[in-house]
Amino acid sequence: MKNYSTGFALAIGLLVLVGCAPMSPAPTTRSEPLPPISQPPPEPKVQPPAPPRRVPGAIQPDEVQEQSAQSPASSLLAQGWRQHSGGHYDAALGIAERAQRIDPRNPEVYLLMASAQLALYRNEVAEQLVRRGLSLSQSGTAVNRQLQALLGQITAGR
Amino acid sequence: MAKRPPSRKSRSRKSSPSFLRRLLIPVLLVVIVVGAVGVVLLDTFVRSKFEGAKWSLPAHVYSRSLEIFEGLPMRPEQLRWELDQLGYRSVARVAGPGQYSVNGQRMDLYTRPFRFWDADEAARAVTLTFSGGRVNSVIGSGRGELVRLEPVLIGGIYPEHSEDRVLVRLEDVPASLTEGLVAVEDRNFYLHMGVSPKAILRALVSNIKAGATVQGGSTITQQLVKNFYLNDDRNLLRKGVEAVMAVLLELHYSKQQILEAYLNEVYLGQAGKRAIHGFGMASQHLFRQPLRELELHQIALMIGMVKGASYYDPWRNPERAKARRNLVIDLMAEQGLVTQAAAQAAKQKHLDIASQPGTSSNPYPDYLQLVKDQLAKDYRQQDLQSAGLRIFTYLDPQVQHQVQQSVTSVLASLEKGYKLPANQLQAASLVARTGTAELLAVVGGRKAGFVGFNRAVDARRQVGSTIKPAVYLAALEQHDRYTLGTLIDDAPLSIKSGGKMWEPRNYERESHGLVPLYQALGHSYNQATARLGLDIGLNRVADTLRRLGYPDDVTEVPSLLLGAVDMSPYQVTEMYHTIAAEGFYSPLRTINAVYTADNEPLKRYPFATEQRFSPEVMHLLHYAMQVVMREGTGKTAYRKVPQSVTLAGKTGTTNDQRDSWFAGFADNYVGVVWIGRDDNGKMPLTGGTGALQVWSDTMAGLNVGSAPFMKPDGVEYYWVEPDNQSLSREGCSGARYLPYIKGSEPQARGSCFQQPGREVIDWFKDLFGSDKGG
Repeated sequence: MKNYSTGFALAIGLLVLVGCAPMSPAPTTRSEPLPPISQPPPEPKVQPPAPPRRVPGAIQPDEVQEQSAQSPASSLLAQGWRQHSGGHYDAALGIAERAQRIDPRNPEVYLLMASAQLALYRNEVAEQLVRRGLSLSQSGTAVNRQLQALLGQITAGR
Repeated sequence: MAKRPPSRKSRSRKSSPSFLRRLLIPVLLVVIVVGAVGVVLLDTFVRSKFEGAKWSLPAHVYSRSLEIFEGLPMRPEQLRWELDQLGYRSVARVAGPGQYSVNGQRMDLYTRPFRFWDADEAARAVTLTFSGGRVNSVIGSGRGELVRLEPVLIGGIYPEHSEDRVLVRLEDVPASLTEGLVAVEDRNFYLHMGVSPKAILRALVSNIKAGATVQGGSTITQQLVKNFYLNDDRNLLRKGVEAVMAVLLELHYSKQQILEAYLNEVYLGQAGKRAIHGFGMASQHLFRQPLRELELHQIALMIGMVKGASYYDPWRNPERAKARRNLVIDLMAEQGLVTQAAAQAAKQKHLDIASQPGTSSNPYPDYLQLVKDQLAKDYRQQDLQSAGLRIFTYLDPQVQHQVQQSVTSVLASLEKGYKLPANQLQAASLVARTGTAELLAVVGGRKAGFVGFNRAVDARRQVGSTIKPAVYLAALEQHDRYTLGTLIDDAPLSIKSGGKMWEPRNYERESHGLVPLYQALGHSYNQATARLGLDIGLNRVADTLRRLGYPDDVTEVPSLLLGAVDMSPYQVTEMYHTIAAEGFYSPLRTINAVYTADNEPLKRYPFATEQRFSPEVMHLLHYAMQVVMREGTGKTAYRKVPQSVTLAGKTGTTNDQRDSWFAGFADNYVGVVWIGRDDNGKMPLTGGTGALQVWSDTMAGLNVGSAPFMKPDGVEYYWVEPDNQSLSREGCSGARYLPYIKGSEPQARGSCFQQPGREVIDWFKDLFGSDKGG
């Protein structure tokens, strides 16, 4: 929650402290010549601002949310990985698609699909599934790293 | 005296009897030989047909299975509707599979066992609670698990003789059914050898006494022979052949085999052109329930219908059917198969049939047509009509029902509001699941279940402004030249095209000067779009259309930029699915898997996708398509859908308003609607006043959530002054928060951006005041 009044008070306090601090004397001699004034210094790049407060009806990107560890898709994915481990790749794909129906934006779904397709030697299909998973995953997450690794494996095999 | 030789007369008198005697033996021999040959031939015929594939089984087509889990968006009445489609019974207290009870926001449910394509699921008893339009909890299924209902039978592909049946094994049939059948139709079934002289005599006596045919003397075996091998002809020769074949059947096969064949052969009703054969299918047809769930009064009704399915049709002749049913119950009680108390209770019950036949031939003909088209690529017609395939599709009956309802009701409302003749307008609509490309609903006309011209797939109409996202997408891909904030000139223009002048004008005949790109799409400015498209190049726009999924040739003329290209609603749906799925193309799918009658897998249609556009560019396009809904030609959608829901889409209106289109997405649904006249006449409707109304009614009915709108890593948002393409800050007058592909944001700083103190205020805001997630 925004709290401007506390921040403003703190800022005023800081300014008072700065105002009371002894000022260092200005230099009386120049040791180096000043650079020629022919071009203004480049302006620093403008950094993207912080997201504004969410307003109903305003067009703003969604806030990042963590994937729930206990979603219905998760239990299906666990089943799917068990099938994958047992070499039943078509069964794993069928289960992955059930999970996809429930949670089509879950990158874990595409990780399982891509792994199963790769195991069935369908490399091109697997690669596109990895790309889809990557587009839905956040950088730095475990699933993102796994997808990147799988993509590396696919492209290295070309 | 010598004997006189015999006279010719006396000679002939004496030779006739001996001639006949001499003739008799050869004739008898011939008859015996012919008879023996006939019996051998009949024997071969009996065995070959009984031991081969006895019946041509139709392919049965199923909907998707509803998976219930915590958080599923579903209201109790929606689940009740689904359960009613499946023939579940609403009871006071749940006692077995196929039953549910509702108490406010709580539902007790006992699911049925079902052989899915991937697993056999046992029956389960669960308790569901609902809250806020969602399933709040699923108790009894285990944490995080799912409850899967069996799919709805939505149609079939029938053999030419149009017989429909679901095969049942004798061990799966309730004992009361087989016992009752034998008691009523052939009480000496287990004693005779196919023909029962006692039964024939008994029937003869009864019929003579009554002066009419009131009883038949045919055994179950003879009835099977008549229905399975022969025909309904009533003559002595046919009856004789029937008797011989019945004996032969009994010689080769057990009573159980004969009874099982009979249970699957007997004719028990009609559903349009389809003939209902066998108790398995009759159970679905009459009660929408599997055999194992039927009670005594229902079983007795079916047994009674064996004598004459049309005569005892419970919908057409309820009183007669009930009387016959009660007679059967009495017979069963007489023979000690049921207690008198149970018999009395059963006779008090209503007929308890479904309100309409549970196996309507084809309630979703438009969807089924797509399924058949897909199957025809992989299977022979003969196999589809005879092998008993099980085809599992993605049709969502809830979504289909909602779409059909919206089309029917909104069209009627529009005709009334605009004082148009009734039934002048036609429509088509499709809904797909975003990201999976599963087709959930297909409506090819305003009349539900009508088998006719499937406008969703077969109509080709100009798409008008629904093509504009492709133009803007092509532009945004050149992000060094175009951003959402780039100003485009919305002035009139004239160019020569094909020997004529092409002079596109805005719908309201006004020009708007320099406008930012997002606004030009949001308000569907024709002039600005035409300039933009010509600057990018028609070949680039055509290429974008192809990458979105449009399969046909594109004529690269300027009018293409405003939608002078014919497409079907199906093709538009496939293109908009690519947009909704953030640039990943997947062909639309109707079939999940095909299995044999014994549930062996034949073919799966796995999900596949292909990245054709970058997520960054798609994010920008999604932004502009949200502007359409919040500020532009699509904003009336919010009369039905809550303001809190993010929608994205595009309206489309063709010249002279002959076509009204809307294509858009929300939550996990992509929907396309077309409204027009079959005679291509003019209408008073635009995309916004026509098709959008159907679309928003559908989305509101589905209780959709927001379209996902995650920012990709390669996109950053900036506050800008749209009028002069310069950086601004939050709170500055006219500032707008716009997304840019990294590196394409404006460099110039607007006057408000450079105001003294602004930086400090923003610094404080960043430090203390900005929302941090939530």
